[in-house]
Amino acid sequence: MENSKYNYGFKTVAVLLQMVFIMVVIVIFSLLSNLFERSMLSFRDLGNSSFFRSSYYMDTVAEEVKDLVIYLQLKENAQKTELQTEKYKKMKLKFDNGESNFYYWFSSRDDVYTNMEGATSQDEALSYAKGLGSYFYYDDSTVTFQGDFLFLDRISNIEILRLFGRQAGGGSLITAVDETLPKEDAIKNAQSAYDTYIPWVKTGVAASIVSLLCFVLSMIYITLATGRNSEDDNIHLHRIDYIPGELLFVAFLAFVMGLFAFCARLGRQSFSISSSLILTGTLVFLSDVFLLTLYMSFVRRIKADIFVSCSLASRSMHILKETVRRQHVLSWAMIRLFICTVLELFFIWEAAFSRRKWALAGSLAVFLYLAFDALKLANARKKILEGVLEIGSGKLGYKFDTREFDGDYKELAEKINGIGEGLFTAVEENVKNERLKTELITNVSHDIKTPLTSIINYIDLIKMEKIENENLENYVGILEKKSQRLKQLAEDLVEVSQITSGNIRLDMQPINMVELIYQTGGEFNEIFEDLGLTIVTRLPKDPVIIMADGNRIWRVIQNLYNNAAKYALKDTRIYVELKKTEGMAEFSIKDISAHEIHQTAQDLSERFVRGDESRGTTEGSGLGLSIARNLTNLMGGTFEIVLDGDLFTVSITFPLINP
Amino acid sequence: MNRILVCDDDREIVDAIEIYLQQEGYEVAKAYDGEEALAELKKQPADLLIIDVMMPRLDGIRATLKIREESSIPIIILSAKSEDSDKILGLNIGADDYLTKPFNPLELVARVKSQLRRYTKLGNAAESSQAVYQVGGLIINDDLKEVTVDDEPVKLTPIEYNILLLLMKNQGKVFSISQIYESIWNADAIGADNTVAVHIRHIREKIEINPKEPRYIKVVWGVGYKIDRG
Repeated sequence: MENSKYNYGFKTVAVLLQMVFIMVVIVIFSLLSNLFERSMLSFRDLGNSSFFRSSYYMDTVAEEVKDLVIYLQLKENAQKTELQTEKYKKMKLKFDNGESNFYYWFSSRDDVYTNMEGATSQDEALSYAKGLGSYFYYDDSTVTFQGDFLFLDRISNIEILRLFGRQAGGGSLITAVDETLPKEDAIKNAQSAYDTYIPWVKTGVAASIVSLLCFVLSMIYITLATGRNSEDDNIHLHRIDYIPGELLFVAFLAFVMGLFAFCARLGRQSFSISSSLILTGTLVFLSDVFLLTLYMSFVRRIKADIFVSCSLASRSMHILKETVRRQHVLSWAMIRLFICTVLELFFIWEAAFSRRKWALAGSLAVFLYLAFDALKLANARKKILEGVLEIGSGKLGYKFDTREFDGDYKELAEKINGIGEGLFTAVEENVKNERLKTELITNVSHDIKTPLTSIINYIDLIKMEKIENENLENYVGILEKKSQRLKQLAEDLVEVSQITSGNIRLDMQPINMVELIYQTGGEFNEIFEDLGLTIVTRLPKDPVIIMADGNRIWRVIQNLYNNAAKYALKDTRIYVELKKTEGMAEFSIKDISAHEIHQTAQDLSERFVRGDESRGTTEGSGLGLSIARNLTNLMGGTFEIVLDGDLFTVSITFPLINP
Repeated sequence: MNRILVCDDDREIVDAIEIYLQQEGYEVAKAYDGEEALAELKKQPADLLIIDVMMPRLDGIRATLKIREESSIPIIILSAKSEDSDKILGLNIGADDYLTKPFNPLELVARVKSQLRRYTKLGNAAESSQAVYQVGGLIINDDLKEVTVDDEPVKLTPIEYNILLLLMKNQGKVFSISQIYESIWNADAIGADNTVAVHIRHIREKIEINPKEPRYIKVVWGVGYKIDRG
C-alpha cells in the first residue's frame, strides 16, 4: 500500500517519540539552567575541560578573595567586636594555618601580611605567585590590576580599593592559587565537584542536541502524516479542526500565560534538583499534549485548505458578504437597525457620562421603538407561518392580505401567494385532467354500449331462430356469454373510473350493518345454494351502526359476495362475520378458493387485475374488488385482503357511531 | 293494436326492437333522430314512444320536452348513459321509464306492456274501496286478497302477501327486517335472519319486471324496505 507510511502505528510511535525527545531536551535544559543559576556553569565552560578556566573556579576564587579582603580589613582594625573577632579567627585559620591552596601577599605602608613562606619582598612574592599558576596583582601606587584571574568582573574593585583607602599610597595585593591544589580546601572541593559533573553536562548537552534533532525529525513526520491515513489520499479532519482558529489561538495564549504564571509562582520557592526535574517533566508532558494537538490541528487545516475558511474572521466575512449580497432585501431593516444602534449608543453615552436626563428618555424611546418593531416583525412572521401551514394542510386557495404586511414580509407574503397560486393551478389542472379522463372513459364506454346493444339483441334474435346445427348453437352460446361480459365490463369501467377519480357524490347515512348483511343474504342465498355453497353468518345481536352511503356499501358487500360466489370451491362454507372491536365495525368474508391464487393480495384489488387470471374462468370484469376497495376507502373505511393458501379473506372496517 | 314509435340513430337497434315488438303484435313506426320522431308523431299519433338520448339534430331529452308540451303519451327513454343522474334527468323531464343499453329485450317488452296498460287505463279510477291500495301499476285488494301488476294477477304466498300489504298500507315508510318480522310473525325478532329478505326478493321477482331495478319494493340498504308513495 502506497500510504502505509501513514498508518496508525507509525503515527502513534512518532507522537510518543517526539514526546520523549522533547521531554529529554527540556529536562536537560532545565538541569543545565539549574546549574547556571547556581553559578556552577557558564557557556564558556562547555568549550574547555580545565577546571582552572571554568567560571566555577573563578567564582570560588572570587569568594576567597572577598574573604581575604574582609580578613585583611579585620586585621587592620584594632577594635573588633566579638562577632568580628570570631570571624577574624576563622579567617586566620583559613588563610594562615598553611591548609590553603590560596596564597596572598599584602603590603601596606607599614605592614606586610602574607602566607607565602619565604617571600620577603613584593617582587619575590609576585614571582612566587606567578609560579603557582593563576595569580592576581594590584599595585596601589600605580593603581593597576594585573593577573590572570578572570574574576575581576565578579568582585567589586571598590572592595580592594577600600583596603588601601585609608593609606596615602603605595602597597600592593598579590593573591595566587597553587594549581596543583595540594591542600584540601574549598578550591579543591570545587575542583572535585566540577570534575564530577562536567562529563555529565557534556553528555547531557550532546544528548539534548541529538534529542532535539530527533524531535525535529519526528515533528516533520507528524507534520506530513497528520490528517492522512493509509487508506486513501484524502485529508481527514477531526472535530477540533472545525473549531474556529481564533478560539484555539486564544486557548493557546491562555495556556502559555497560565504556564508562565505557574512557573513564576514556582520560581519563588526552591526545590531540590530531582523534584524540580519531576515537575518540569510533568509540565512538559502536559504542554506537549496540548500544544501538539493544536499544532496538528493547524497543520491539518492548512492541508485541507480550511485554515482561513474555518476562522471566525472568515465566517464573519461570509455572513457579512451574504448580508451585502441580499442587501436589496435587507437594506431598509439594516439601515434602521444601524441608526437605532447609533442613537442608542449616543443616548447611553450621554446618560452615563454626561448625566443628562433627556438622554435616558431618548434611550427608552429608541428601546421602545425597537421592541415595537420586533413585536411587529414577530407578528408578521406568525401570520406568514400560519398561512404557510394553511397552504401546507391543503388549503391551496389561501391568500395573504399583503396590505397587512410591510417591508420584507410584504414581499414574502406576495411570493408565498404566488407559490400558493401555482400549486392551486397545478392541482386544479390535475383535477381537471382526472375529470377529463373519467369523461373519456365514460364516453368510450357509452360508445361501446351502443354497438353492444345490437350485438346482444341480434344474438338473442339468432337464438330465437331454429338452429339445427349443434356447433352453431355452441358458438352462439359463447357469443352470448362474451357479450354479456363485455356489457359488465363497460359498466364497471365507468364506475371504477368515477370512483377512483372521486367523481361521485356520497349520501352518507347511518347504516345498520346487521340489517345490510341480512338483506344481502336474502339476495344471495339461492345463488349460493345453487352453487352448493353454504353461508355461515355470525352477527352481533345488537345493531352495528356506521356512517356510509347505503347504495355504495351495498355495492361493496355485493361485490364481495359475488366474488365468493364466482371463485369459491364448490360444496364449501363461506364465513361471513361482523364484529365490534374498539369502536370499529369489522366485516369479514372468508372462502376457500377453487383455484390456486397466484396474485398477491395487493394485486387483487388493483384495477384490471382479476383474481381468476390463472383460474381459467372468464366471469366478471376483474374490477369488483377494485370497486369495493375504492368505495370503502371513499366512505372512510379500510379494506384488506388476506391470502392464506387457498383461504381468501376480505375484511373491511368502519368506525362505529353511536346510534 | 297499439302503435309504437321507436327512435334511435342506430338503425340496427331500431330494427331489432321492431322485431321484438311485432312479435308481441304491436304496430311499429321508426325514426332515426328527434326531428324525425316529432314529424312522425305529427303525421300519425302513436300510443307509446321509445327514444334514445344521444342522437344527431335533436336529442332524446329535448324531443321529450317538446312532445310533453302537447302530448301525454308514455315515453320510455333508452340510453347508454347508466348513471343515476341521467336517469333522474330523464324521468324529471317527463319520461315515464328509463332503460339502459344494452337492454334485455324481454324487459323492454314487459315495460312497454306495463306503460301501455297504465296509459289506456288512465282515468279508470280504482274502486273506491277502503281495502284497495295502489302504487303505479301495482294494486292490492285486501278484500279479495288479490294482487295485480299492470292488470296481470300475481300469485303470492300468504307471508309474501302480508309483507306486501304491510308495505303498501304504509307507503313511504321504511320497515326494518325485525319490524317486518315482528308484525308478520307476531314474534320477537331475536332469531331474525335472512328469512324476511328472501321473502322480499321473492315478492320482487313476482311483481317487478327487473327485480334488480325494482320499481315498487325499494331496498334501503342497511335500513330496511319500503314502497314509495304512488
